[in-house]
This record gives sequence, C-alpha cells and structure tokens, in this order.
Amino acid sequence: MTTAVVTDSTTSLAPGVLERPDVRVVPLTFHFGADETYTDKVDMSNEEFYERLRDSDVFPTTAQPAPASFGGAYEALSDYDDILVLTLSSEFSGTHDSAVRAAGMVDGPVHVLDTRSAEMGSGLILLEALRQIDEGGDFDEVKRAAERAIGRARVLFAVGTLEYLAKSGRIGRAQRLLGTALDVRPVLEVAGGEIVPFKRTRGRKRQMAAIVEKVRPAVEAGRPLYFGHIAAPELLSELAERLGVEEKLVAEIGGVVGSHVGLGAYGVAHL
Amino acid sequence: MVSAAHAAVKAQVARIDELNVYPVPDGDTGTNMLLTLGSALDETSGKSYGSPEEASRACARAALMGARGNSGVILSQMIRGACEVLADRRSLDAEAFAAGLEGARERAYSSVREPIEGTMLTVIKDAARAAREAVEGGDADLSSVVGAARQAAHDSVRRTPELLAVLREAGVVDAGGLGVAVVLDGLYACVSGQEIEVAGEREDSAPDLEAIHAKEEAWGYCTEFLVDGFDGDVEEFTEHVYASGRSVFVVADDDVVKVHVHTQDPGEALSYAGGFGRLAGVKVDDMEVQVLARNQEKRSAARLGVVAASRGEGNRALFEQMGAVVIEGGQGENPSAADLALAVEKTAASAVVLLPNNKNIVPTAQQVGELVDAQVHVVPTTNIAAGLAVMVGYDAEGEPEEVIEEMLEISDTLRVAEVTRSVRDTRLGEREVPEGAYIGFLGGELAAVEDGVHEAALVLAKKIMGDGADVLTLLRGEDLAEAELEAILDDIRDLDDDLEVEVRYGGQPLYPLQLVAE
Repeated sequence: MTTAVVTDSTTSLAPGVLERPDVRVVPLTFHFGADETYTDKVDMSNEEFYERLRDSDVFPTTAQPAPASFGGAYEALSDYDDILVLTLSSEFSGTHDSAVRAAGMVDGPVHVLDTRSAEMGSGLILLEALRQIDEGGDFDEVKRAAERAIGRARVLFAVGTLEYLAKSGRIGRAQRLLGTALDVRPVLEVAGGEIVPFKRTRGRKRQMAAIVEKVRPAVEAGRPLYFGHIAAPELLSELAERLGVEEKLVAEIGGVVGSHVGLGAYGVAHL
Repeated sequence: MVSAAHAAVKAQVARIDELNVYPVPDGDTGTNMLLTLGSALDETSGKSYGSPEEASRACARAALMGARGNSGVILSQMIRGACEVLADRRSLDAEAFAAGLEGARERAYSSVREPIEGTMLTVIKDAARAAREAVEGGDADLSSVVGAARQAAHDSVRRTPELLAVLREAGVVDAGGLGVAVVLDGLYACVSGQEIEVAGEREDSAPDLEAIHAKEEAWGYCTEFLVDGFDGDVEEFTEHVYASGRSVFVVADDDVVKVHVHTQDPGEALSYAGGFGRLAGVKVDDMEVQVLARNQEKRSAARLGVVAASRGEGNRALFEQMGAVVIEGGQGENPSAADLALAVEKTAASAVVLLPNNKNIVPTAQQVGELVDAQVHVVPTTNIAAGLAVMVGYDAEGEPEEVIEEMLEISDTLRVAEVTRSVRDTRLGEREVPEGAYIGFLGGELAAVEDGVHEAALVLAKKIMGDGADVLTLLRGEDLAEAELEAILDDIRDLDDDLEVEVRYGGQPLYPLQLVAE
C-alpha cells in the first residue's frame, strides 16, 4: 500500500518536501492587472513579489488552478495505490473544487481533503500526513492523521493593514475589524476554514502580545509550530523570542496568499 | 479601433473595478471587460481579412470566447451586434457608426432575459440614441457623431444611480456603464485623433460597501464556461440553463456557446452542458460564503450599542465612524441624564456602553441605567481621546459581555492628559496660575503650567513616556493650528523613536490638545 500526496502552492512547504517523489504541488496563479500572470512561488521570487506589492498601485488578483493541473499531478502519481489531496480552504478559493472535479476525471482512488486552512496551517497538516507515510502507515492512517491535524490547526496572524483582505473579499467575519477611525493593528485567526477576527490592537507591541497570549498554551503543550511572514523577518524573530521557542519552520508566504494579506504580515500556525 | 477601446479601458480598469457593486460587489468589472476586449484585440491586431464581414465575424467570435463575467459577456454581445451591422458596410461613416451602436444595443438587450436599467444596457441605449440623433440632425462627420455618443454615454453613466437603487445606496455610478463610456472614449480618440480628456467632473467615488452588503443577495456559485463544438438544440439548452439559476446568460455563436449562471449546483450545470460539447474556460466562484457571513452579521447587529458624549465635529465623526451614537456634551456643556437616556434608546440595542469622556459626566452617566430598559454599562473615560481608544475594543456583533470586558480592560491601561487654558488668575493646589496660561493635566492632576501649548504638551508627553507607553494619540482642538501641532509632534517624536504617534483632528473647544497613551 503506497500513498502519495498532492497539495496546492498555498501550502507552506517545509525543507525537503518538494523534493519527495511522493509529493506533487499544483500551483495557483496571481495577476497584476490583466496582462501579468505569475505562477505562485515559481515565476517571481518572493523578494520581487514583495517589491511589486510595495510599489504597485494595482492590487494583485489570484486564480485557482484548472482541474487539468490537478489531473496532471494525479496522473504523474498513478504508480501509487492511493492519492491524498490537501487543498487550500474552500472558503478562500475554488481550488478545492478544481481538485475534486479532477479527481472525478481520473481512474484510481483520489481522496480530496479541504485543509480549512492555508500556508503554515496547511503546511503543518501536510507534514502530519507525510510523517504517517514515513512511519509506514496505510492510507486510512495517513488520511486520519491529516484529518486530525485539520481539526486542530490554527493560524494566528498579524497584518499591517486590513486593506488587502478587504479588497480581496476573503475577509468574511473579520469584516468587523474594519470601520475603526484610529489606526488599529488587527490580529486574525484562520479557524474552521475561514478568517475570523481575533483582536483589534493598537501598536505593534500589543499586536504581538495578543498573538503570544493566544499561542502560548499550544507552545507550552509542545505542539508543532510553523512560522510565516511576508517581508517581516525581524517581527517574526521577535515573536519567536517572546514565545520562547526557536523558529524551526519558517515560511516566506507566497504571492497568492500574500496578495490577500499584504506586506508586513506575520504569524504562526500550530496544531 | 479595437486597440483604442482596449487601451482606454486599460487606463481606467482600476477605477471601474472600484465601482463594481452590481450585481455582485466583487470589484472585477473593469478587469472582466478588459479581458474581453483583450481577446478581441489578440484576434484582430496585425491581421488583415478578406472582407469586412470576415473581420467582423472574427472579432465578434474572439470577444465571445474571451468574455468573462456578466459585464464581459454583455460587452461581447455589444461587439458582436456592432460587428454584424458593420459587416455589410463598405466604410465606417457616421451613419454606419450609429447603426453599429444600435446593433450593439439590440444584441446587448436580447442577451439578458430581464434587462435592468441603470446598467451598461442603459448606457449603450443612450449612446446609440445620441448617435442616431446626431446623424438625423444632419451631422455627417464621424468624429463628431462618436463624440456625441460618448458624451451621451457619460451623461447616462451619471444618471445610473437614479435608476438602480443599489448604486444609489452605495453612492456610486454603474461600473459596467462606465466601462461602456470609456470604450466610446477610446473610439472617439481613435477617430478624432484627440486625446481623451480625463473626466474633470468625477463621476465616481469609492462605494459604500456597508450599504451594498446590507442589500446584496448571496446566492450560489457564479459559474462560467464555454461549450465548444456545440451539438444540440440551443433553445432547449438555453431553457434548461435559465431554469437552473439566476443572472443567466447564454450566448451562442456558431458552434460555441458561452454560459454564465449563478446556480446552487454548478456540477449539474456542467455535466448537463458537457452532453452538448466540449467544456472550456470553466470558472466556479462561491459567492455565498463571504456574502452570507456579512449579511448574517448585519441581521444580528446592534446586540451592543455605544453612546459617547463628545465635543467637536472631528470627534463626532470619529465616534460615528466606529459605530457610536454621539451626544454633544463635555466640558462646559454637560448633558443631562435624560439626554443620555435618549441617546441610549437611539442605539436600539439591548445592552449599551456609555462613554462619558469627561469626569464631570461620569456621575450622570451612572444614573442612566435607571431611566432605560437597556442594560447600561459605564466605561468611565475621562477625556475624548480615551473614549476613542476604548472604541477600538467595540464590536457590535460580538458577545456583549466579552466586548464590555475588553473595553473596560483597554480603559484600565490608558493614561489621559489634556492641555487647556486658564480663564482667570487662580491657584491650583500649590501653584499660581495666571490668566491665559496653558495648563496641562495628567490623569486629572495638574502637571504643567506654561506660557504656550507647545511647552505644556511636551511636559505632559515626557511624563507619560516616563511611565512607559507604546502608542500616543493626540486630538487637535479647534483652537490649535495644524502647523503648531506639527512642531509639537516633531519634538515628541524626538523623545522616543519607538513610540507610535497618531493624530486626529477632533475640533473640541477649550482643549487645544487631548492626549491618550496606551
């Protein structure tokens, strides 16, 4: 019994994951205006992307992969007995739909799970599934491990501005963090597949303190952590320091999610 | 000409996206129209065709193939309608142009089952009419007829809010309509050789999303696809799609059928369509998720209200923006408990937080609970800046108890200060205070007596920072000039690099400055 895993490019990939023969990553795309299309984390370096985000007065838009892209990945892994697909939360994107539709078009068992998360959150979920594979688990065990991780995963993150999320329409219930006449530094949470407001804070220090307070119990319980940022490495180091942990896993958030959360965002996922 | 229209829309795409509120405020109308024109441009640029008919057909087909979204599909139909008319013409003269616009109008209207006025349909209709009238009025000059059409289109765009309530409520003009006017701008620039004047009078402003989201209907998945090599009965197919959802477009051109439908079951629509040909360009967006969440919040709104006593128009606006009901009152003008009770009732909430924002109003505020049915919680803020800082914790839809606790918690961490002016020679505690001196209070205690606002403010700022602060917010009163505040800010920033300083115009009388530190 062999199991392979397919995910999309919004999942943060820990070192070594991309090189695995049993893993395929299907890219989303982002666009600056109508003319410029980029493949997530491939066509443009993160540095270049951050620069564009900083300088451009156009808000980038993003697009889900076509079912055919998933289909290609499934076929490439057809030597495996089972394929587990872990997608970006279906609340944020049609990527999950594409993966499901593609699963209906190929022979062989393909099981699509909605991670209800993104980036560092789905990154941790993917790691749980891979760990189960490496430990020799059969497909059901791998799937159960992923499902358990999906149930636990939380991402706490700070954004410099809500502007990007508001424009992107992915803000959901966090909408209520808008409408403040003073500068606020919001803290948001990805939980249950959507972005929910956690706290409005004033000042960078309090913003970070709010994340620390929320994440500390998970840290104390020794749960796995995955840090991530968009052009804010110093803030991330400070966060790790205040949590009293080493940054073992750090993701540079890519163009697709970056288009929605904006520059200066940082945060941490835990299970 | 396709190139000119494409260039014009490209230049305005962000502006059109920003306006997009109807039928779904997803901010992509400009992009959709641009992609549609881009497709026609790719097909036609640099090519030569054997006949006008062949060119027209190619252009119409390319626009249809590339059409995205409601606006893109309607635009593709306008292009198709115009192309059909122009296919029979030898040259593009004034009359042909007018007829082309009429063709565009016909195709656009017939592509929509229930035409809605106040949209791009109305704009093409008005533009076509203006072009026809110009021709019938004896105008044979192509560029002046195009000019008349584009002028009429812009006038029509400005009238769209009168015709469509959702635009009126959002305070915007129709995005697709503006797109049509901009396309005509491009055509005008092309035939007249003149630059397009950028609208001196702004037709648009950013939409009021609150108003739209309150109104908007959340429904299903926006589903778009092409059926290539269509084989079957188009009528029957069309009927089926119309029955399966809303906002339906089915546009057929030879063996290609373009479908746009908002449906609860995109899978059904796709598999049905798959029986008629090869599916291409499939795009499914869930419109329900975000919109529904917003609307649910709206319906359960005002579980918790806030009443803030405040002075100055700037402060009033700040509080109102954050969702408070403002009652005018503060230093020198204290509201009565009855005034406050009335304001509490105005919130229509069952639990209300009262922000007195002045220590003299705190006792009055504490009486209000007995006068009203609502649960009243006083967060005893002692200046306006503190009230605003507390508002940051307000969440109309949150669990009232948690929100109140959050607001109290913020209030506890605040350090308030203000600068005012002595109205007579007096003695405050140990200190002589001459008339006209600027006096600074920190936490209600006299902390500075100085000749100027600047000096008093700096004394206060130093003391505040001595106690440790991350964020300092300053409210400028009606008597303090902006330039003077800038000078004060420069000095405050010099005191501490780490401090985040925020300034708002409050417009309060008597206090040139109110400060709050967090």
